[in-house]
Amino acid sequence: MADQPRTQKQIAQKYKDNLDYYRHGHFLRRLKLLLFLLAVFGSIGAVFGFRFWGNQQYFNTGPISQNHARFANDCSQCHDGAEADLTRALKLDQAVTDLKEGNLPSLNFEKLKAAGQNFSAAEMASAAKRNFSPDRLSVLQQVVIKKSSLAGMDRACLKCHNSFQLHQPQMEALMLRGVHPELPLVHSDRCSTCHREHVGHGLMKVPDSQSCATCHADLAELSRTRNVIKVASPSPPNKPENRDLGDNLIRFLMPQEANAQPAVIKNYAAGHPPFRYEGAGARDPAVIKYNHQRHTQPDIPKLNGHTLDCADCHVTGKGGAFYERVKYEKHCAACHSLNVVPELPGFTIPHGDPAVVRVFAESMNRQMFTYLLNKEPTASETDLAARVTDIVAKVRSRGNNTLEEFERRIYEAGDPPRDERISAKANTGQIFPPCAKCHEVTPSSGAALRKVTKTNIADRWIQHGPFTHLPHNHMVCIDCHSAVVGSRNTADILLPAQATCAQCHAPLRKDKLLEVVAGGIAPKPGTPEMVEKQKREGGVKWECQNCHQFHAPPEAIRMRQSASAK
Amino acid sequence: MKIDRHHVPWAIFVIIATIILAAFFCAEFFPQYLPFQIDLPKFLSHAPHERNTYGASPIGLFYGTLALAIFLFASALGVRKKKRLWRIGTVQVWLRAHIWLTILTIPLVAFHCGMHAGGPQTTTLIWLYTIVMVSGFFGIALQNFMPTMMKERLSREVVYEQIPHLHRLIAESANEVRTALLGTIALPASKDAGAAVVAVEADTSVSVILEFLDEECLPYLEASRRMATRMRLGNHRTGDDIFRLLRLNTSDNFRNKIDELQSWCDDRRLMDLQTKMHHWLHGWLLIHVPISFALLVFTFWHAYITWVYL
Repeated sequence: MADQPRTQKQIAQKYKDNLDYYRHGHFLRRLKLLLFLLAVFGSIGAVFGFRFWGNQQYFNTGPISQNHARFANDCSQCHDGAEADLTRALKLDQAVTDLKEGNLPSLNFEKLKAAGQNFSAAEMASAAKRNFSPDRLSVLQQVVIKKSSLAGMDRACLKCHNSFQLHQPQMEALMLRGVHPELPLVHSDRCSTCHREHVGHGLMKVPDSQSCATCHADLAELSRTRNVIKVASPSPPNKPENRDLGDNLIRFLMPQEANAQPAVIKNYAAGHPPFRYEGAGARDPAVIKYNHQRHTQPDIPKLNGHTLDCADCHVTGKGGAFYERVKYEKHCAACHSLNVVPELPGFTIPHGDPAVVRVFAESMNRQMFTYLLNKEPTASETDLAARVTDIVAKVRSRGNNTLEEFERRIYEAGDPPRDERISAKANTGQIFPPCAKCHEVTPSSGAALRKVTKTNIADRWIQHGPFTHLPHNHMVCIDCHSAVVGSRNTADILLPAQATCAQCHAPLRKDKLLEVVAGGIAPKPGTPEMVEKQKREGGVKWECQNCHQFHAPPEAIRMRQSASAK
Repeated sequence: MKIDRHHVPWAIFVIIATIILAAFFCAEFFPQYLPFQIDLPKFLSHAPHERNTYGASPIGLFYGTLALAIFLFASALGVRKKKRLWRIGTVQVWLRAHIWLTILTIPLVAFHCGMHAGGPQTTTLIWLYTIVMVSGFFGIALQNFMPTMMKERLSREVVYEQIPHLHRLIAESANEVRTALLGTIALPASKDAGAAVVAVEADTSVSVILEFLDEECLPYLEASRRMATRMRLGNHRTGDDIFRLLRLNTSDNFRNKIDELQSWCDDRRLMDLQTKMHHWLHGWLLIHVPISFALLVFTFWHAYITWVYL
């Protein structure tokens, strides 16, 4: 059937008995209202009745780390004063009680105001960073400072970790206070800035280099936070010096630059200062005559059938750390023997104390007899005595007729004497070389003992971080110690420049990544190709924490306190 | 509200604002992805980088606060609709702002939460927000094509709230027809043969119409919408066939009566269709509005919890 058009009058006619329809509830409207009321009361009820259906885990933004797992269910340990229950926070219970007792509920605005104005030093620093005037903060600025600062949380950290409130990234800095009069100690009570919680069940992650760069790449922030305390240094070095600071390690020390400005460091390859031994005027102060270049020449006699190698003298320390001290007996004696006579290869002039050498020279016959007796216990004493007499006669026949002459040959000339030079450069054809070949010998007059200056070879060239050779086993020594090849003087410092280390120990240079090398095969670990790859691409351990620590040891707090007291 | 050319400036505003928001976000957290450097104002940048979350950073807080302000504005639309005489912009402008500003909250919320749902409370918030936004987009889509569809399919649209009243009127009218027809059967038989034939024919037609009324028409007109749509007269084609058959089985004298009955059944069918379409057109608000309010309450709660826990 076709639709029939109707007039407005006809249409209106149908409604005439129901003109107040909008006053009556309609299904859809009723349902809408019902659902809206349900949402209103449901959501408000859920919020205010939270204590009946939820717990604080509901607000947890992520898993608590293993470090803080024991109070994972007690948020207030860190979130000081946090009250999730709005009923309690708004003190509604108290308000109801007040009303029941006929009192009007009230808020202590003075108390709230005072709480809002109580700023910590960190919060004030935050205000300064934002160019807020600290003495005239608006309410909004107060809110920004309070809520953008983690000062409250940091205070909670320090309740347990009180000894970690100072920052000194150089591990040995405290130990060096005897020679470094200025000790930078920065207040580091902003724990939460670097230590991120609620990010996983495992142990808290060590902050990354980016955390360090937040301050260290910002000169203004560094200058603002820099704090140096003066410590009593009995004898600071005023020139490069190798010194034992009491821990049986000889350390290379440079004079500390007064009022040194902090370096802006983005990462190890960008801005990290050079090592101290790279500084102007740095030289190796060891007192020994050693020519590295000479020892690499092909005419140097082979040692145990192989050409002399760096590792014949330089042996890594425990766990690969640095190097063991070079010892004459272990590393030099095989080539530079102190044999008195070639027939007795083990009968040598004692190395070390001149007093012992004097005793040896005076009692050489008896020493030799004892040596032979130990070596040949079955031989008769008469035979041994006769052999001693023969050998001593041979030694004397070389001109060692007096104690004075014998000592002169031991210390200055060698045997047979090369010439009268105090410092004999070579001992070719000699039975034993003189001490002066390697050492600094101070001549004496009369029967007085000569003085041999201690070599004082440095065990540690870097003081502010650890080092291990083990991960560098795939490299050859001159990859880093390239200066060794041409070095003729002891004073030459043959350690790598920081920039050399930073070739590999730098953020990954993605633009230089080579997925494969020739032949479609990536270099194998431990190969020279891998070394080249690492130098080109970087990406090898470059995090600050690989070498530095953040927190100063607890002792620093006492030092700081005593420095402040003065 | 139909999306037409009046929305173009709003769309351009939202696109530009989103680009600016994204650029600021990247400038703060991912400067390496930006082709140029952007120096944020001091109050928006970290000083220093302290927070564990994007939302609690100054720029994250700014985005979150802005999103909350938009939520509040969006919820004020209900009040604006009630207070039509307030001179604070037309409802149309308010609705456009409601739509586009809430679309702008998508990047605001995404950057505020750093694309992470976070803990249980923030996940709840994200779900509520998703429901609100999806229902809103669904509503916009419906409001763009449903009115046209209604205009095409509902030739005799009535006031929605009058539909139950009209149902009742139609059913009452049909009942009156039935009563009248029953009255005609009770007439005394005439002595005139011709008149007797007419009377017999009339009796047959009346009984057919009465049977139709009792079996099909009245149950359909008195049934609920759900039941009515399942009946034979609830279908347009079947209804037409039934009335065509009814006309064949009755004398022409009852043509007007039958036309009237068909008109009522058609009205009923159209009103049922209108009801259905109206429910679709406005039913999404049953979800959108209450959940929006719950979202608002939970967002304030989230702000409070953030306030006390940080």
